[in-house]
Amino acid sequence: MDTMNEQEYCKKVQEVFEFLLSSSCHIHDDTLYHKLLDSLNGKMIIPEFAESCGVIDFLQRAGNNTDISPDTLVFAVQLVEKLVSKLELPGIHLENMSVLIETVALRTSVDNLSVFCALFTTMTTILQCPCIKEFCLNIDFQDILKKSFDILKEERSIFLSRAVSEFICSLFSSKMAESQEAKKLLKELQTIIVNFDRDGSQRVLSPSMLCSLRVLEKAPHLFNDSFAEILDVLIILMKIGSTQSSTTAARCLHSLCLQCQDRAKSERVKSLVTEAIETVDIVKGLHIAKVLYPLQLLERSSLENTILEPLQMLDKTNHSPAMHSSLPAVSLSLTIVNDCNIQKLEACKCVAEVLKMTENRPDDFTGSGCYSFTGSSKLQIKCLDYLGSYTSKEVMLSVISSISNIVSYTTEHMIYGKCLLCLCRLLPEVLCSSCYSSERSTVKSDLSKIKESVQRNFCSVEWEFRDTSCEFVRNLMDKHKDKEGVIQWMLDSRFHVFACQAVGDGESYVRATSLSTLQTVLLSSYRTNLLQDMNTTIDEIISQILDVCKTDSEAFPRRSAARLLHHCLLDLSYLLHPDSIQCIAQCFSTSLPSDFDWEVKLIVVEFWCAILKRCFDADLDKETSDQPLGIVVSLDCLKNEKDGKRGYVSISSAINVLLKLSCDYDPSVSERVCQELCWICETLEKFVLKISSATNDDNRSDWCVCAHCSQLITELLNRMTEGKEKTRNDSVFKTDYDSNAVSLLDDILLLDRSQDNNDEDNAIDCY
Amino acid sequence: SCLSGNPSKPCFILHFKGVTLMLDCGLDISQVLKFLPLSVVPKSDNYDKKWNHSDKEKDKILGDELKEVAGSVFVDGSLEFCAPEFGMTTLSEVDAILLSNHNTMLALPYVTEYSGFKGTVYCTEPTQQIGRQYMEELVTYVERNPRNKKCSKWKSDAILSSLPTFLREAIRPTAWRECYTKHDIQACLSRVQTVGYNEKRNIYGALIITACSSGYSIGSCNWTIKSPYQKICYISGTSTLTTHPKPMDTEPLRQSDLIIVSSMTKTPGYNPDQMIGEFCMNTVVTIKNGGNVLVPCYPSGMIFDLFECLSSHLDSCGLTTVPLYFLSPVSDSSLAYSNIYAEWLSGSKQSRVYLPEPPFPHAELVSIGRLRQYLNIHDGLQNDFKSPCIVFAGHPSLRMGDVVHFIELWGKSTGNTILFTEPDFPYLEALAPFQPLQMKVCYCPIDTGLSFSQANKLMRDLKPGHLVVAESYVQPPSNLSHKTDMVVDYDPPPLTYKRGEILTLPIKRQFETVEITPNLAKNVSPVEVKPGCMVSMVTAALNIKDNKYTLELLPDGHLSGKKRRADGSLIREKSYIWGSLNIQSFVDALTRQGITDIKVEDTEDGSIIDLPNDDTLIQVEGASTHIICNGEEIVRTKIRDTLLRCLQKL
Repeated sequence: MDTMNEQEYCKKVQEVFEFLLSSSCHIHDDTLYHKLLDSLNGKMIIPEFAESCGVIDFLQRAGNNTDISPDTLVFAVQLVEKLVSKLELPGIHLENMSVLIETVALRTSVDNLSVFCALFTTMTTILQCPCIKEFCLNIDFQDILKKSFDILKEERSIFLSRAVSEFICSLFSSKMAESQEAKKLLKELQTIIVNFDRDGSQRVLSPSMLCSLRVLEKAPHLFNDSFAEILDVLIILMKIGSTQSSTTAARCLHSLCLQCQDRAKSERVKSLVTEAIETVDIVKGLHIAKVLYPLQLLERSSLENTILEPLQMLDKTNHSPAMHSSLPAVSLSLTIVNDCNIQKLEACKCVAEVLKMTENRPDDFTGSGCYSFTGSSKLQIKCLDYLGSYTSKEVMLSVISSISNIVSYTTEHMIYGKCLLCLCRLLPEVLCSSCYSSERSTVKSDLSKIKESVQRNFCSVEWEFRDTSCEFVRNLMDKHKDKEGVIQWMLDSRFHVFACQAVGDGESYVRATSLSTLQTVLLSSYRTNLLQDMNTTIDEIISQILDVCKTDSEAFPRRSAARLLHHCLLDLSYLLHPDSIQCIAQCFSTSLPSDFDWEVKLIVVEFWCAILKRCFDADLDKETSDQPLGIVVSLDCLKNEKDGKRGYVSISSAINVLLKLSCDYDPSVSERVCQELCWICETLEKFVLKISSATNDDNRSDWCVCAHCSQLITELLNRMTEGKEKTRNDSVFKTDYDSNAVSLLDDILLLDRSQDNNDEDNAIDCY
Repeated sequence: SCLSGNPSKPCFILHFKGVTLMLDCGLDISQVLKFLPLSVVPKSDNYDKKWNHSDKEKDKILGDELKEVAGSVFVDGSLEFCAPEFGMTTLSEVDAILLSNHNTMLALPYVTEYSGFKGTVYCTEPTQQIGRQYMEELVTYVERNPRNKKCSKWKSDAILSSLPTFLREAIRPTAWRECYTKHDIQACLSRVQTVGYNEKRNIYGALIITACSSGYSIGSCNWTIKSPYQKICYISGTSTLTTHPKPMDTEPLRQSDLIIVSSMTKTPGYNPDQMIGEFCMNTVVTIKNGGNVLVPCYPSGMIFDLFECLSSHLDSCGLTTVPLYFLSPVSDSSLAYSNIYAEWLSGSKQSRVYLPEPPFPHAELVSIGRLRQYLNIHDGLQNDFKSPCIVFAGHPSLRMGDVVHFIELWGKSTGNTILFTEPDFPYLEALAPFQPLQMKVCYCPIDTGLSFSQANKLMRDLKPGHLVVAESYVQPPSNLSHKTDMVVDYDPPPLTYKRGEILTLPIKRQFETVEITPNLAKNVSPVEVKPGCMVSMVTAALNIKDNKYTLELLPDGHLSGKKRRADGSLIREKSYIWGSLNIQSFVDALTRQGITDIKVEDTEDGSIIDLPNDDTLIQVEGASTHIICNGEEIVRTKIRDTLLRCLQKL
């Protein structure tokens, strides 16, 4: 910001502060406060600027002003937080700010929740600042601590309790932890824990108890004096408290155990926790196990037993309907198995067993099994999540069997997708297994059933199923392209044909996925199979894709189509008819650069940059490369046309398109082009030099682009300079306020003026 | 009386207020499954394996009536149908026939043309036209490739009982009848009087009948049959789902004394929406695999929804060029009529007419050549035929029509699929004569009729006094016996009907409306017996005509004003007393008659007046007065006269 602007800004800021301090200040839109705060935070690089803007004066007056609106007071407190944490303020300024904080703490009613939330959040930040001691010199810290403790005990708003709790926790990790005030507070916290009502009547913890436990969890060493009593309370909490209390207690016990130097004490903690887990009900035990599993307080194997118990019980009871009540436990157990990532055979067996129980239709009562589990999508999702990441060989066939049943009826595309993900992972092993080749195995019929279901879902009335099916083919091709068995199974099932036929689907998302899948198949070595099975040629496909680029009304398919053409031209040009190459180039030169979608235009930029790179690389390396790349061969075939017409795939077309896009109205596109122009300019300069120094005049004249090169380079350089400047000023993420901070101030001041007019109708209109 | 054994092809006789109504006249065609298909292109080698009876004597009697195909035995004769039990009633006495929809009228020619029926047939115009199409299609199929041999030897009890189960379970095959003719259809439909929704029609002055939309098909209706004091509703072929017809109108069905329900869904285990999805999915899978799809269908009804859903789904799947062929002898009229009945369609379809666009999208499909209709396979189909394609052809029984040709043509290829959507026929039985079949078979029955839960909900809403349903509706379907909720549940428990059963409906006629001629009314002097209620003695002649009752002045010869017995002897004129006795007035009057020392005692029901001097007790209650005296006639007469004086007289 130049000096002129700086002065104007400071003047405006002062006016805004005046307005904020006035009793008439009413800013309904609190985002303006946040924006002003961000703006000031960005500008305040040195304390002097804060002074010249009147920030210090504003904070001083805010503390003394009893008419100030609560929102402005919150703003002032937050401004203190920003300034103290960011700048090295002189003592006098710190004093002003601490006075403001103290005034707010003492004078403002606690009922004003937003002010107190801001106050404690600010204090939490300041506690971690180097100047905290100096800051606290001028405030009655004892009083603030007392107030915070009172707020906790009064159990006010959850937000305020949380802010206070954060503040207290932060206190014991700050430089103020050793202060007398902090020690006194610690004693009170200890007392709260020790005096906890042990008769079980207090199942839900009070905010003060929760805060005390948080402090205990974060700084257990501070509680060493009353280790035995606290241990006692924590164990009771685990046993009788709510799920939340139990898990909080478990975390505290873990902290306590970690810092415990005495081995005997540590062992006692472990044995008590183990005993508690065995005592509590199964759901609470699971919650505790979930907390303790990653902490390694206890042996993992024993916790695993607890976690898997509901699943193992099901197995033993042979799916008895009497286990209806265990549905929540089973569900929770599966969640924990997933969350804790227990990738072990025992767990895997249990999960596969649960999946088996859910595999029938929800209305199917014919099979034996626990009815409440039949068709339960909730359990299916959890099982499939697990089995999608880990499946042991022992249960592989059972899982495939379950998947074959589930995909045949499920009406939830999410479950269908998870089944296919799981299948995608298992297929290589299943197809290689001895069972697959065995005549007696059911896996073949399961896979055949899956094949039929997937084929049907390619034609489902719900687009999500069609989309997921296309995605499945792409996954198979991506992940298993070198696994012949998997690909052969896919080809035999004609999934590739179904997926690629979906290019004409009625739903744009499906068209987009189909095009992406088509790209994967075309770029693989199995493109011949596709072309044969679809009874078409690659040029016909390209023609179809070009139509999508030009006529599709939705952006997603156009993006995928553009990407596909991009890769086809770069990697498969040797298979394409010259007319197809010309059409693609024409599309990238004329239609796509004018597309409404910015991502399509980015693909155009990428395309031409890649073309240029290929051209440059090929021609610059011509001396060393005997076999130029396919694209260059094609380029040659275009550039050598006798009638003097310049081919579409040429350096000049590329640069012309890029120049056009450098002025694009969409900043993402123009910025990207400007970034690319740097290396293009550099390379083009080298390229021109090389061509100019070439002895073969005929060769030079072939490259009709050369005639334009010097002109182009000049234009490119100009555009690049403009672009850089533009990029510096206009970031994609910047708003108008970011680029012009004064406008924000003007807008706030406008509120002041509109307030005078009291034009309520207009105010409403503005909203 | 219930004349039909199939509640989906109902036929009832209702005697009510002296009028005899036939409710629907459905024809159960499922018996044609016992017969060999009528091939469009006759082949000698297909169905020529004679079935040999193990008993040589019986085999000799049977001759070559029965043929064996793929292990099943079929009758190799002309097709016959199981008409309702018309013998249960005298059809010439039926006053009117009420038809609900095109599905429940195919037996009509048997009634109108072969039974001496003299009444009127009522139905909506679309029902008449679509019913005509169904009948004409049936007759065309039967007559087009006739099998002239009539087989009846196998029906004799002695032989029938020894035949394989499939034939043995045939119901009264001796009563099966051959198909009627096109002439019969013309003659039969000429008796039809069309009605609009909510239009009132008077049946001989006794009943008012009204048709109200049932939401099942174009022009389908439920009937309300009203007398001035009773209301019976007949619900048949009703749908609460949103499809192409006008939605169901429940309002006229409320406050009825009795509702008769028939034609509920035949496939309660299948959700129609899901089945349409399955149908579309299976079709597209087959097409994408390069196969052809065959859909056995009727020429109207659900097929319009199938065209709409399928074409839209084909578009969704990028199969915009796959042709749809619709083959039926009435395909042209079916498609044409569907688009002119806008007022009988759902709101969304009606609103398309105002755009203006045809209500059904199949009109556009026809115009762009994607849907092509042919009267039969020789109607130019071979010139336009392009594979893969989707063929809609009748008849869903697979025993007649062009569908037979396509099964024979495509049945050997695993790439092709036959998709059953009509629930009238068990698909495995339908396919039996074509086995072994390689083509894929999918069963997606779409029946939009009332499901059990919908029916129960509807009845809870309509709250009829009594409910009459088919016997099969009060027990779970045999294939879903564990689904105990698949029954009609109502309080009071529903009365049930089955074939050949006569049911006395719990409706008692208590009142009748009688009109008085103005001349007679002039002579009447009514007395107000209570506020708003006047009573008078009338001597008049009761005239009954067209079930209307009128009181008229007596003819001149009888104007004496004297009442007579039937033999002409005079009846002594007497007055009728009425009103309640005022005890105090009565006591005063008795005192005036010289009776003294009267004691009055109030009881729960009235009063007891004690006349100790005359040894008499008068007990006055709400509706009776007892005088207990010692037999002294003077006192009795005195009391009687005093009492009569205290009461009012007519």
